[in-house]
Amino acid sequence: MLRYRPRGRRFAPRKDAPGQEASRKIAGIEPADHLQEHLDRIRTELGNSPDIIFRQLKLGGASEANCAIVYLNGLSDPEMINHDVMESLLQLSKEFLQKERSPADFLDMVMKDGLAMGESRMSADWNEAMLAILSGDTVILIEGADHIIIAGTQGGQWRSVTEPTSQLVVRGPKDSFVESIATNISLIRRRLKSSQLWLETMKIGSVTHTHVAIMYVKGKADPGIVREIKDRLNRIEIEGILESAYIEEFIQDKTITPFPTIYNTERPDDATSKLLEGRIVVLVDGTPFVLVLPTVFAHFFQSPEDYAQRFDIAIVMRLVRYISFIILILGPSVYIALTTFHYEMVPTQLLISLVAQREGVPFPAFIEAMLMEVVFEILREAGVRMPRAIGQTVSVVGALILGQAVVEAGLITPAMVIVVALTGIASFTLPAYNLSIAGRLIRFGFMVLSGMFGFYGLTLGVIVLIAHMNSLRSFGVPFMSPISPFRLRNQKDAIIRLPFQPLQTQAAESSTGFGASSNQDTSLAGDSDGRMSGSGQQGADGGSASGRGQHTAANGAGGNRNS
Amino acid sequence: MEKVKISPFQFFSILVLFQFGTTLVVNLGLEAGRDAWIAVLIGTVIGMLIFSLNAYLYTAFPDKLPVEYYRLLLGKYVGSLVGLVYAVLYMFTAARDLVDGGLLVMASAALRETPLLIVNLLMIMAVAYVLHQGLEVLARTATIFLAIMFMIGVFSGIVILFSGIIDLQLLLPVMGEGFQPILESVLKKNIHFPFGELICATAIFPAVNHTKNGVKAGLLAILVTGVILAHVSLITISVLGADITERAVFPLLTMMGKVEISEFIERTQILIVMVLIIGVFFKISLYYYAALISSSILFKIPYRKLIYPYALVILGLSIILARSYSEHLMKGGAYLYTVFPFYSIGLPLLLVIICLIRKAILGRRSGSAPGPGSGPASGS
Repeated sequence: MLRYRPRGRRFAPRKDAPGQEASRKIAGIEPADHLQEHLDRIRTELGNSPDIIFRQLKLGGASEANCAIVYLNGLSDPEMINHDVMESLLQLSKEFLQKERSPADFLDMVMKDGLAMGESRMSADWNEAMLAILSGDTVILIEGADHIIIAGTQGGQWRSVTEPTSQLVVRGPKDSFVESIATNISLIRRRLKSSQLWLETMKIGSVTHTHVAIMYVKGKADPGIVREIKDRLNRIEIEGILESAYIEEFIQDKTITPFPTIYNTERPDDATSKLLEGRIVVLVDGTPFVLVLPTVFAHFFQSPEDYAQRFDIAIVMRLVRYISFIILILGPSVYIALTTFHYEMVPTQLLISLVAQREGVPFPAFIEAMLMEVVFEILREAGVRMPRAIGQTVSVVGALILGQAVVEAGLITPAMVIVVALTGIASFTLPAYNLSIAGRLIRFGFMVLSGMFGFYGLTLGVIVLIAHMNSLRSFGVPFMSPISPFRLRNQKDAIIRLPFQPLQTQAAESSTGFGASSNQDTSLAGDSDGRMSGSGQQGADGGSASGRGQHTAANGAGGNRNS
Repeated sequence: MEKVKISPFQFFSILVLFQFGTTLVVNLGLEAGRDAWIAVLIGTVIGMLIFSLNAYLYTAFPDKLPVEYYRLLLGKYVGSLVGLVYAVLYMFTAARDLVDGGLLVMASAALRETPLLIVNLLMIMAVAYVLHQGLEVLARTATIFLAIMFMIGVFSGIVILFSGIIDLQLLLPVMGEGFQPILESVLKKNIHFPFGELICATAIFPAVNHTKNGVKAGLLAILVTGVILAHVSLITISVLGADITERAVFPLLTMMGKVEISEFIERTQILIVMVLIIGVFFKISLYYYAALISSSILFKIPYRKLIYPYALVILGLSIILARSYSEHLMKGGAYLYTVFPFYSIGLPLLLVIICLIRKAILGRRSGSAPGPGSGPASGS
């Protein structure tokens, strides 16, 4: 079982624990004569919640209770509490305990001799103790001691690791992140066994105290960006974090844009490959979607599948996605422009049939397209939100009534239905859902432009759109890099994907620094292999060290290569 | 001034798109008849020489805007006045190009019922938005559109080639009427349009992050544009013949209209219209930016604050300037070939001479007392 405990340096300013009474001001735990006082205080502060369990123990044959454990039912693992905490406490040898000891000594001994727990620590901080209880840890209080022991007994129910639901591949790993941040971290660590993989955690949310972790490969990630991310995370002031999107909105560079400037994924292999590129991954407890930054536009078109198929196939697949994106944005507007302003551009035969179709239709092409697109959006939204059981109804209503009947009634031309259906399908080819939403939104703007100005409006719209995308930055890295500013060296995995051989040399060439973080290298390069075997030689023999290096290299190449 | 840096390649892209501007579509080297392409090539070489004048000033003051070195070379007041004149000139030319673009678009893109004001408003809004994002964004956008233009160019070339409409006989005889018409065309037109207009490139020179490569990129941009323009006019004439080319309003459009491959790929003029819109966009952008940045130095106002007032001024000017295309062209000819050369060739030449004299004086001075301040750049 995997448990999560904040590890490494703490960079979060300590936040107040829940419950904002006046007694919060007392930071330390003062030695109380009676254990009962502490327990009462906990009970009062948590509002007499019935799911807080108080259990008093008599250790070493004391005449009255000199120890108590407190935990939250449901969030903690009852088996661990019973076996590892209670049992080992009660088994403390009697003669050992009968000696006269000061409470501090006693506490120290319980900690060192009495707990069969890997994960336990002492604390003198009242807020930390309260937070520990609320996170599912067990707090052990000793009569008269001014410290408490926090035993890591977090448990409870989480969804188990399942197949990803939003980023599917035909070939590739089938696991996905879950809601538990500890599981998520383990999924990444299992793939990237390097001492260079660093993890730092903090808690965000003045009420929810949500665990947020950032992971990066030391030496590959730009230290400046790491610092900037911590800075921005620390600046977040919000009551609750329920999804990584909350954090995304706080830390992104620019808010007035339809484009997502932070990539999110629910695939551990995707996150790992991004880590190997020198990017930084932000994990948030309670959501399977992790953030990857800095992000460039090309990320939204990369699927892990690209590295699981032959490179020539992958290039075609990726081109299909780029073309789909263009169709998604421009499809209906080009149709409007052609049929409203530029008849002469359409081949004659086609034009005749188009005009014949339009004969009985009462709306101009623009209104027609708007109607159909809005209907499509309604259908799509209904399809996502509706209960599974009535899914049939929506497809019947959508396909038959709105599709066929609308044409037969002469409200919409069949050609328009084709165009709308094409853009609808095109929007689903993108591996990243948030980019396709952006595309769908922009599409409406282009429809208005082309409805009013034809290709003139369309061309100007494209210029403004590209300029806008060029003005975006994700943590200082231009959003459109490496396409613009153009870097030939980084083209190997942007629009196309080259075979792994050049990809690896690219990673080896890339230097650390601010610019390097925009690199597209996907594989762990020779230099980090060297670093790994270097660290391996300390404890293990050379064979295992090189084995580890190989393993990581294979992971870096999308789990497809084992050289 | 904000510290933006653009790479020589981005500089190159802006210049190429700027020169394509309206030039690609309208008649070029009309006076030279079927030898227009020769006139363009000669114009290119002279254009490179003119550009070298500005490039010389740039290498002398690599991190200074024109207004700043005008003040340095001509004295504070005269320099500021010259800077102001240039700013007004740029703004005026931006307005003229706006009208140019608007009228061309209205005539070619089937927007016959849309008022010119609205067409121009859309364009100036787009330009203002992009300039608001800064020069770097403009430059990076230029690289992407250079690639798009390139693709359109290659596609058009292939289509024209395969539809078999090229008749090289139409180019003969080369220089059938002697050298006179070519020379006339070069002097009257080809030097100034588009190469003389590159004077406004001086406004973005200081943003280029590599002085030497910047100059090279500029020269290369002129050469590439010149060759492409000559090539285009060569093809146009060999398809349409000199007669129709001279009479057509948009020879390139007419030429593309002749393209037809198996009744499917036909009438690809829309691509040319897009090229036209993109080119006009970058042309206006550069003039507009040059006007903005010069004024922002003159009046010590951050240039972003000037963007929208200037947009209004340019839009207003564009409405006043022309009511019909032929009137506009007539005025434009007069303006471009009489007033403009003084600013694009005369003044830079004068400045280079002043700069050389100044350098000589400074050189003599530092000769007697050797020090680091010997070059004109550090002598400022």
